[in-house]
Amino acid sequence: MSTKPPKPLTPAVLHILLALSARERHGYGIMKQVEADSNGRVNMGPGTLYGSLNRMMDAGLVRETESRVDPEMEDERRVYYEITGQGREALATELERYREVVAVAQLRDLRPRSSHG
Amino acid sequence: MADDPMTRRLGALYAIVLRLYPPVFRERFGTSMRQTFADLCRERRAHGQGLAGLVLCSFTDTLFGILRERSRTLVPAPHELVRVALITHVLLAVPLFAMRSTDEVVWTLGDFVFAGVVIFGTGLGFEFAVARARTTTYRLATAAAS
Repeated sequence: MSTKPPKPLTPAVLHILLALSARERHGYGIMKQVEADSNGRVNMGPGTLYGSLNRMMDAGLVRETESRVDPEMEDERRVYYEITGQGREALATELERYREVVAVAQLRDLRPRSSHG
Repeated sequence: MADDPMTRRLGALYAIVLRLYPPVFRERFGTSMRQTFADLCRERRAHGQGLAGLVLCSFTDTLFGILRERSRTLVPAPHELVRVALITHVLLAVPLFAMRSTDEVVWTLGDFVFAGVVIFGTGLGFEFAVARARTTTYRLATAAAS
Protein backbone atom coordinates (compact mmCIF):
# COMPACT_ATOMS: atom_id res chain seq x y z
CA MET A 1 0.00 0.00 0.00
CA SER A 2 1.44 3.40 -1.00
CA THR A 3 1.61 6.09 1.66
CA LYS A 4 -0.20 9.35 1.05
CA PRO A 5 2.23 12.16 0.15
CA PRO A 6 2.34 14.95 2.77
CA LYS A 7 0.33 18.08 2.06
CA PRO A 8 2.32 21.05 0.72
CA LEU A 9 3.32 23.52 3.44
CA THR A 10 1.74 26.97 3.52
CA PRO A 11 4.10 29.83 2.52
CA ALA A 12 4.15 31.08 6.14
CA VAL A 13 5.13 27.66 7.51
CA LEU A 14 7.79 27.19 4.84
CA HIS A 15 9.36 30.59 5.58
CA ILE A 16 9.31 30.00 9.35
CA LEU A 17 11.00 26.60 8.94
CA LEU A 18 13.61 28.18 6.65
CA ALA A 19 14.22 30.95 9.19
CA LEU A 20 14.72 28.41 11.97
CA SER A 21 16.82 26.00 9.91
CA ALA A 22 20.12 27.73 10.79
CA ARG A 23 19.50 28.47 14.47
CA GLU A 24 16.81 29.08 17.08
CA ARG A 25 15.15 32.49 17.11
CA HIS A 26 12.50 34.45 19.00
CA GLY A 27 9.35 35.78 17.27
CA TYR A 28 10.78 39.12 16.15
CA GLY A 29 13.97 37.34 15.04
CA ILE A 30 11.90 34.97 12.89
CA MET A 31 10.07 37.93 11.30
CA LYS A 32 13.32 39.69 10.45
CA GLN A 33 14.88 36.51 9.04
CA VAL A 34 11.81 35.82 6.88
CA GLU A 35 12.00 39.39 5.58
CA ALA A 36 15.70 38.97 4.79
CA ASP A 37 15.26 35.51 3.18
CA SER A 38 12.51 36.84 0.90
CA ASN A 39 14.32 40.10 0.04
CA GLY A 40 11.60 42.04 1.84
CA ARG A 41 8.77 40.46 -0.17
CA VAL A 42 7.25 38.57 2.78
CA ASN A 43 6.22 40.68 5.76
CA MET A 44 4.57 38.48 8.33
CA GLY A 45 2.34 40.11 10.95
CA PRO A 46 2.26 38.90 14.58
CA GLY A 47 -1.14 37.19 14.08
CA THR A 48 0.13 35.14 11.14
CA LEU A 49 3.46 34.34 12.80
CA TYR A 50 2.15 33.15 16.15
CA GLY A 51 -0.91 31.43 14.63
CA SER A 52 1.47 29.47 12.39
CA LEU A 53 3.83 28.72 15.31
CA ASN A 54 0.87 27.42 17.31
CA ARG A 55 -0.12 24.97 14.57
CA MET A 56 3.51 24.04 13.93
CA MET A 57 4.06 23.27 17.61
CA ASP A 58 0.91 21.13 17.64
CA ALA A 59 2.22 19.30 14.55
CA GLY A 60 5.66 18.79 16.15
CA LEU A 61 7.51 20.86 13.53
CA VAL A 62 8.93 23.40 16.00
CA ARG A 63 9.26 23.64 19.77
CA GLU A 64 9.92 26.25 22.40
CA THR A 65 13.43 26.11 23.78
CA GLU A 66 14.00 28.51 26.61
CA SER A 67 13.16 32.01 27.70
CA ARG A 68 16.19 34.30 27.80
CA VAL A 69 17.36 37.83 27.07
CA ASP A 70 18.49 38.53 23.50
CA PRO A 71 22.04 39.98 23.86
CA GLU A 72 21.41 42.26 20.86
CA MET A 73 18.22 43.71 22.33
CA GLU A 74 19.06 43.63 26.04
CA ASP A 75 15.59 44.08 27.45
CA GLU A 76 13.02 41.45 28.47
CA ARG A 77 13.40 37.69 28.38
CA ARG A 78 12.05 36.18 25.17
CA VAL A 79 10.82 32.74 24.23
CA TYR A 80 12.99 31.08 21.58
CA TYR A 81 11.77 28.53 19.02
CA GLU A 82 13.75 25.81 17.28
CA ILE A 83 13.04 23.42 14.42
CA THR A 84 12.54 19.74 15.34
CA GLY A 85 13.67 16.65 13.43
CA GLN A 86 10.15 16.34 12.06
CA GLY A 87 10.30 19.99 11.00
CA ARG A 88 13.58 19.42 9.13
CA GLU A 89 12.02 16.42 7.39
CA ALA A 90 8.95 18.47 6.37
CA LEU A 91 11.22 21.26 5.08
CA ALA A 92 13.34 18.81 3.06
CA THR A 93 10.20 17.21 1.56
CA GLU A 94 8.80 20.62 0.61
CA LEU A 95 12.07 21.77 -0.96
CA GLU A 96 12.19 18.52 -2.95
CA ARG A 97 8.64 19.23 -4.15
CA TYR A 98 9.75 22.72 -5.23
CA ARG A 99 12.76 21.22 -7.07
CA GLU A 100 10.41 18.89 -8.95
CA VAL A 101 8.15 21.81 -9.92
CA VAL A 102 11.13 23.80 -11.16
CA ALA A 103 12.34 20.75 -13.13
CA VAL A 104 8.96 20.49 -14.87
CA ALA A 105 9.01 24.23 -15.62
CA GLN A 106 12.53 23.93 -17.11
CA LEU A 107 11.45 20.95 -19.16
CA ARG A 108 8.71 23.11 -20.69
CA ASP A 109 11.14 25.96 -21.19
CA LEU A 110 9.21 28.20 -18.81
CA ARG A 111 11.26 30.96 -17.26
CA PRO A 112 10.53 33.76 -14.84
CA ARG A 113 9.43 36.96 -16.61
CA SER A 114 12.58 38.82 -15.58
CA SER A 115 14.84 36.35 -17.44
CA HIS A 116 13.02 36.73 -20.79
CA GLY A 117 14.97 39.91 -21.35
CA MET B 1 15.69 51.60 26.28
CA ALA B 2 12.52 53.43 27.40
CA ASP B 3 9.66 53.55 24.90
CA ASP B 4 8.03 56.83 23.89
CA PRO B 5 4.47 57.48 25.19
CA MET B 6 2.84 56.68 21.82
CA THR B 7 4.57 53.27 21.62
CA ARG B 8 3.49 52.52 25.20
CA ARG B 9 -0.12 53.52 24.48
CA LEU B 10 -0.23 51.41 21.31
CA GLY B 11 1.29 48.50 23.22
CA ALA B 12 -1.46 48.78 25.83
CA LEU B 13 -4.11 48.89 23.10
CA TYR B 14 -2.55 45.85 21.41
CA ALA B 15 -2.64 43.98 24.74
CA ILE B 16 -6.39 44.66 24.93
CA VAL B 17 -6.88 43.25 21.41
CA LEU B 18 -4.91 40.13 22.40
CA ARG B 19 -7.52 39.42 25.08
CA LEU B 20 -9.86 38.36 22.25
CA TYR B 21 -7.71 35.27 21.58
CA PRO B 22 -8.83 31.98 23.19
CA PRO B 23 -7.30 31.75 26.71
CA VAL B 24 -5.03 28.79 25.89
CA PHE B 25 -3.53 30.62 22.91
CA ARG B 26 -3.13 33.81 24.96
CA GLU B 27 -1.34 31.93 27.72
CA ARG B 28 1.04 30.45 25.18
CA PHE B 29 1.84 33.49 23.01
CA GLY B 30 0.35 36.64 24.61
CA THR B 31 3.60 37.93 26.14
CA SER B 32 5.66 37.10 23.04
CA MET B 33 3.12 38.84 20.78
CA ARG B 34 3.22 41.98 22.90
CA GLN B 35 7.04 41.95 22.81
CA THR B 36 7.06 41.44 19.05
CA PHE B 37 4.63 44.30 18.47
CA ALA B 38 6.76 46.57 20.70
CA ASP B 39 9.88 45.49 18.76
CA LEU B 40 8.20 46.43 15.48
CA CYS B 41 7.20 49.84 16.89
CA ARG B 42 10.77 50.49 18.12
CA GLU B 43 12.18 49.47 14.74
CA ARG B 44 9.92 51.98 12.96
CA ARG B 45 10.81 54.71 15.44
CA ALA B 46 14.53 53.96 15.05
CA HIS B 47 14.18 54.48 11.29
CA GLY B 48 12.24 57.71 11.83
CA GLN B 49 9.04 56.21 10.40
CA GLY B 50 5.46 56.73 11.56
CA LEU B 51 3.47 53.99 13.22
CA ALA B 52 0.14 54.33 11.36
CA GLY B 53 0.93 51.74 8.66
CA LEU B 54 2.36 49.28 11.17
CA VAL B 55 -0.65 49.65 13.47
CA LEU B 56 -3.10 49.13 10.60
CA CYS B 57 -1.27 46.04 9.28
CA SER B 58 -0.54 44.47 12.69
CA PHE B 59 -4.02 45.00 14.10
CA THR B 60 -5.71 43.71 10.94
CA ASP B 61 -3.40 40.69 10.82
CA THR B 62 -4.00 40.01 14.53
CA LEU B 63 -7.78 40.32 14.20
CA PHE B 64 -7.73 37.77 11.36
CA GLY B 65 -5.55 35.58 13.58
CA ILE B 66 -8.12 35.85 16.38
CA LEU B 67 -10.91 34.81 13.97
CA ARG B 68 -8.82 31.83 12.82
CA GLU B 69 -8.07 30.68 16.37
CA ARG B 70 -11.67 31.22 17.51
CA SER B 71 -13.03 29.24 14.56
CA ARG B 72 -10.51 26.50 15.33
CA THR B 73 -11.93 26.08 18.83
CA LEU B 74 -15.58 26.26 17.67
CA VAL B 75 -15.45 23.75 14.80
CA PRO B 76 -15.49 20.18 16.15
CA ALA B 77 -12.56 17.96 15.27
CA PRO B 78 -13.19 15.13 12.75
CA HIS B 79 -12.92 12.44 15.47
CA GLU B 80 -15.60 14.26 17.52
CA LEU B 81 -17.93 14.38 14.50
CA VAL B 82 -17.38 10.64 13.87
CA ARG B 83 -18.06 9.85 17.54
CA VAL B 84 -21.33 11.83 17.55
CA ALA B 85 -22.40 10.28 14.22
CA LEU B 86 -21.71 6.76 15.56
CA ILE B 87 -23.72 7.40 18.73
CA THR B 88 -26.57 8.81 16.63
CA HIS B 89 -26.59 5.65 14.47
CA VAL B 90 -26.58 3.38 17.53
CA LEU B 91 -29.47 5.26 19.15
CA LEU B 92 -31.50 5.25 15.92
CA ALA B 93 -30.97 1.50 15.62
CA VAL B 94 -33.02 1.00 18.80
CA PRO B 95 -36.42 2.03 17.30
CA LEU B 96 -35.46 0.33 14.02
CA PHE B 97 -35.00 -3.05 15.76
CA ALA B 98 -38.09 -2.41 17.91
CA MET B 99 -40.17 -1.93 14.74
CA ARG B 100 -38.97 -5.32 13.47
CA SER B 101 -39.88 -7.12 16.68
CA THR B 102 -43.17 -5.44 17.67
CA ASP B 103 -46.07 -3.61 16.03
CA GLU B 104 -46.28 -1.08 18.87
CA VAL B 105 -43.39 0.97 17.55
CA VAL B 106 -44.16 2.65 14.24
CA TRP B 107 -41.69 5.27 13.08
CA THR B 108 -41.88 6.99 9.71
CA LEU B 109 -38.87 8.18 7.75
CA GLY B 110 -39.63 11.69 9.00
CA ASP B 111 -39.45 10.48 12.62
CA PHE B 112 -36.01 8.99 12.01
CA VAL B 113 -34.76 12.17 10.32
CA PHE B 114 -36.16 14.35 13.14
CA ALA B 115 -34.67 12.11 15.86
CA GLY B 116 -31.37 11.95 13.99
CA VAL B 117 -31.13 15.74 13.75
CA VAL B 118 -32.03 16.17 17.45
CA ILE B 119 -29.57 13.49 18.67
CA PHE B 120 -26.74 14.67 16.38
CA GLY B 121 -27.33 18.32 17.37
CA THR B 122 -27.41 17.47 21.07
CA GLY B 123 -24.23 15.43 20.71
CA LEU B 124 -22.41 18.32 19.01
CA GLY B 125 -23.63 20.66 21.74
CA PHE B 126 -22.31 18.23 24.35
CA GLU B 127 -18.90 18.01 22.65
CA PHE B 128 -18.73 21.81 22.51
CA ALA B 129 -19.72 22.12 26.20
CA VAL B 130 -17.05 19.55 27.20
CA ALA B 131 -14.41 21.45 25.20
CA ARG B 132 -15.47 24.72 26.89
CA ALA B 133 -15.39 23.02 30.29
CA ARG B 134 -11.82 21.89 29.62
CA THR B 135 -10.89 25.49 28.83
CA THR B 136 -12.65 26.78 31.95
CA THR B 137 -10.93 24.13 34.08
CA TYR B 138 -7.62 25.12 32.52
CA ARG B 139 -8.32 28.79 33.27
CA LEU B 140 -9.32 28.02 36.86
CA ALA B 141 -6.24 25.84 37.35
CA THR B 142 -4.01 28.58 35.92
CA ALA B 143 -5.66 31.20 38.14
CA ALA B 144 -5.23 28.95 41.20
CA ALA B 145 -1.58 28.28 40.38
CA SER B 146 -0.71 31.99 39.98
